[in-house]
Amino acid sequence: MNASVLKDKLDRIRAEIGRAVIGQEEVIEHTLIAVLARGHVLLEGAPGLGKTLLVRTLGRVLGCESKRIQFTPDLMPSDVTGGNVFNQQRGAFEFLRGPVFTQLLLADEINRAPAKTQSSLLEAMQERSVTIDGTTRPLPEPFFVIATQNPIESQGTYPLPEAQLDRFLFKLDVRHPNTANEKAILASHLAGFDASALDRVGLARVTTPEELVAMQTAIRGVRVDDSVLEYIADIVGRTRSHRSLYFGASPRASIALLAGAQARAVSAGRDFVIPDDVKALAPAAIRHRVGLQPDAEIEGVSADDCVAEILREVRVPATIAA
Amino acid sequence: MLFVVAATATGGAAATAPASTPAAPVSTPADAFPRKDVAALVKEVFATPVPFCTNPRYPLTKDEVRWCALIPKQDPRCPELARACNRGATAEIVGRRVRQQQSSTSIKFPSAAAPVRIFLWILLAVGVAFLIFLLARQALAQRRPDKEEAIEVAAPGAPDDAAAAAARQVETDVQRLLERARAAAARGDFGAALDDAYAALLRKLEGSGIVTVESHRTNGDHVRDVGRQLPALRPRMQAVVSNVEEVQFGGSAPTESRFRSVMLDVVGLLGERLAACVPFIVAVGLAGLLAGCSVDRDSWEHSTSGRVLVVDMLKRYGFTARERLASLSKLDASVSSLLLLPDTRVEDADWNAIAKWTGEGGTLIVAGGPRTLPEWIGATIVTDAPAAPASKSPPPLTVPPEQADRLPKLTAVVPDGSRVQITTPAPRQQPYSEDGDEEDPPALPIIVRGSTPYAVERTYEGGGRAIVLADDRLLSNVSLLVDDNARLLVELLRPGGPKLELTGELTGLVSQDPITSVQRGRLAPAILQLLLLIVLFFIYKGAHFGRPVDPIANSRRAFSEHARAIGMQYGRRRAGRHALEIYGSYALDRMRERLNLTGGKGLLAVAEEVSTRTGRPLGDVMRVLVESRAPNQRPTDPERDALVQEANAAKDLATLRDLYTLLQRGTLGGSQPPR
Repeated sequence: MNASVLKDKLDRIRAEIGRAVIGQEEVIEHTLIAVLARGHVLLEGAPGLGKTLLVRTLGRVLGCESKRIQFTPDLMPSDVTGGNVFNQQRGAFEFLRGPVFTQLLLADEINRAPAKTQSSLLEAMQERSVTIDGTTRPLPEPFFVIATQNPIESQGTYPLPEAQLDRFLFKLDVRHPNTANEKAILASHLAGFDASALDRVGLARVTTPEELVAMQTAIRGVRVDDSVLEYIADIVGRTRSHRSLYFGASPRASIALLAGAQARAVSAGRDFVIPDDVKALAPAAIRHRVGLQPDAEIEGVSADDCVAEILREVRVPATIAA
Repeated sequence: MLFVVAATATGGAAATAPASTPAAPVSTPADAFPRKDVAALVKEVFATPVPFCTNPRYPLTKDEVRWCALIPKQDPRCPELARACNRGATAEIVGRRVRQQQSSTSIKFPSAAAPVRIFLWILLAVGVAFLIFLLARQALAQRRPDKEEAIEVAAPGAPDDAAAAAARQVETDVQRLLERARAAAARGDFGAALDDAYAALLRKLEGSGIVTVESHRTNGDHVRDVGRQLPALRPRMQAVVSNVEEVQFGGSAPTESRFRSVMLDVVGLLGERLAACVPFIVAVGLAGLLAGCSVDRDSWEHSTSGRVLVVDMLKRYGFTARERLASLSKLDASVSSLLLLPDTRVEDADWNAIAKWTGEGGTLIVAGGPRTLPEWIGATIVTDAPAAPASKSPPPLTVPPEQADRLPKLTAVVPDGSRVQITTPAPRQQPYSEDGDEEDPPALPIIVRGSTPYAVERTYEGGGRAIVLADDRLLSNVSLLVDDNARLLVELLRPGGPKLELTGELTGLVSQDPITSVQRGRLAPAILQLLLLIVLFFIYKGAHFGRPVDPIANSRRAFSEHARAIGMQYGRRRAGRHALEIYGSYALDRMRERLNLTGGKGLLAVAEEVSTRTGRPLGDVMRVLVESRAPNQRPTDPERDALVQEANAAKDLATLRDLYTLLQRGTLGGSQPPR
């Protein structure tokens, strides 16, 4: 599967998703890139911005089996992973699969569940398997988690631990649509679009799970120049010495950035990565992997500000500038 | 330009003798310069080739064709004019601009008082000085880096060695980059050629303010910049970038075909940038062309109707013939003779000045022109339809017998069409004539065509005179070739003296002040509109008229600003020691809190743990901790006080930094030094 074929396929996926989700092109693009890079996505945004709709649409267009978990404070880890239940008729324990055994998992409002429940996804996200009572069960391929969280509410929420956050390839900020897009959303609503009844939209299934796995495999062949590797390492390395950051990004961030850049290159029809791919994805790949110094937080500095500052400091490969 | 601008007067008043009677020979300054052979002078003048004498296809106007019947059929002085005449009238106009009496709206400025004028002059001087300063500064700035003007050093500081310095040098000149690209391609180094070609494009775009070349900006940033400002160029720019990136990052070989493709696009993009300037260039060119056409005096002056040869001949004769640029109202004794040509614009004030000047002995020669002459001249010019057809010679000009003493017997002829009519003479009023009520003699014909006056002369009390010619044909180049026309002209002008000035369309256009200049140039509406546009532009842009300052933010100050402000207060009060003590206590508390101290909470235990974590010697760590706690002894000697305080301040700051580093590395693992 060469780059142009992949690009055609991705264009069709984008077009299909765009029929249901209006005005979130960047989020759609980054989510697709994450899917191609075998990564998980954390969507953060106010309610009503179409996060859940995006995931549901994505599941249909990609032809993947999708399940949704509404995270609540009383949600238990076994509600996510499943567990062994005693079958009285057979007189033995049987494993009941939890919703995590799917291809596309929507973890809705993930920060409403306590840390132990959130952590039940750790192994699934990293190892793509679930271990219960000493038995490890693989998850279906492809597998990716798209979690959502609301940044406004603080009552009854549990911030995701750093280890959990690090598992997400990208953290995407879902912003409010502009006026034109909002008008388009209204027009779509007037035309009869109902987000709860996607069947009526008639979304086409562009890929199959097998094709998606093939696409994920194909992007690993995308060429990455040494200078681009240095560029990635330099960006991530600087997060560890930035004055406003309490802790910097881990090597997993570098890997995420690399994989994302490869996927973005394919998305643009290229079979090689350019610095622009890295630069475009750096905020999404790094912002949730760094911790701000208390004084920086007081000053209102955000992780995005730090990443932007780092990107301004790091020299782009092959630049002609002095 | 035909004439040299006369900036200063030649000096010396024209000495004139009062004329007792019009018929009597007048003692004039002409006696001061000797007579010369006019025919020889004309031959000399025509020795220099002029277009109408050398080009048999020289275009002639209808008016000029009327000379054809008068010139010799074969004239060695001007061999091709007869052949040009055979073609007839083939031109409408020979580059000459007829002065138009503009009827457009003009805004009259109120007469400016002296302070206003002085202020304007000062303003102008300051503006000019400022411009000169800017130009000089720019010139110096450009000159300074002459040897390295297109080279920027990548990193400041002295280069380690020549090779490193060369590696850091970055070429920024577009042309040199393109040349370098071509040279690299010629020697087969297509990788370098591609880089240089792309760099040339970026530098060009940077120079145009479209992209910003900085070390952190990617090619994609440049493409987006271009897309924002010049959307039409984006696809081409993208094509170049894609080609370049395939080599830079895609592992593709830099081939000749790829270089050619990139170079084609680069040159195309550079060309399109230039193409964007084409309308401006065309506009400027057209404006220049139109301006050039409108003042194409030179070509007209060299035509048959022009005067360049006449002036040349007069100069050779001894006249200081020059064009008058100053206003006629400033006419003075430095001019002995004034030749008023048809293009001259004469205002009432000018006529008054001329009248006064003639009263003081000046000689005015009015050479035709559609103007109403003042009554004191005693003659007027009447334009008739030509009596003789173009193919036939009109009656010759002759000197009336009563003027035999005034002018010699001559054979002259010019195309007909105008005549002079003597009018009832009117006395000049005070102050032009001291005897205002004394009547001057009337004008008398001095040259006639048949019985019709062609030129009349009136003399005034005080020696001045006014000669009115029916037209200015005697003053045309071609006239010099006809019979004794040249001699007649010289004889007409001689009595006026050698200090001859010719007026023209530029006479009086030299303004005394900027306001008059604007007024005469009818630029007031344009300037007012320009000012209005500037005001609108400033309003639109919100440009400041003073020093720009950031608006006062209503939000709360940042934490770091408070910390910085407190630090500055400590610094001003020389209380670095105090700050160190406070920070020392804070740091020690944090260390005790964060470190896993197994040997108690004492200073030694803290130092041991920090030393273990940071790898620094225990003694070193202990020294920092102790110094941050133990106050230095205060000096008592006032003279020593400042020195010791300064030394202590530097030492305290170093200790503070050490402490910060220990705190960060020992407890957090960070390594960023304090700001």
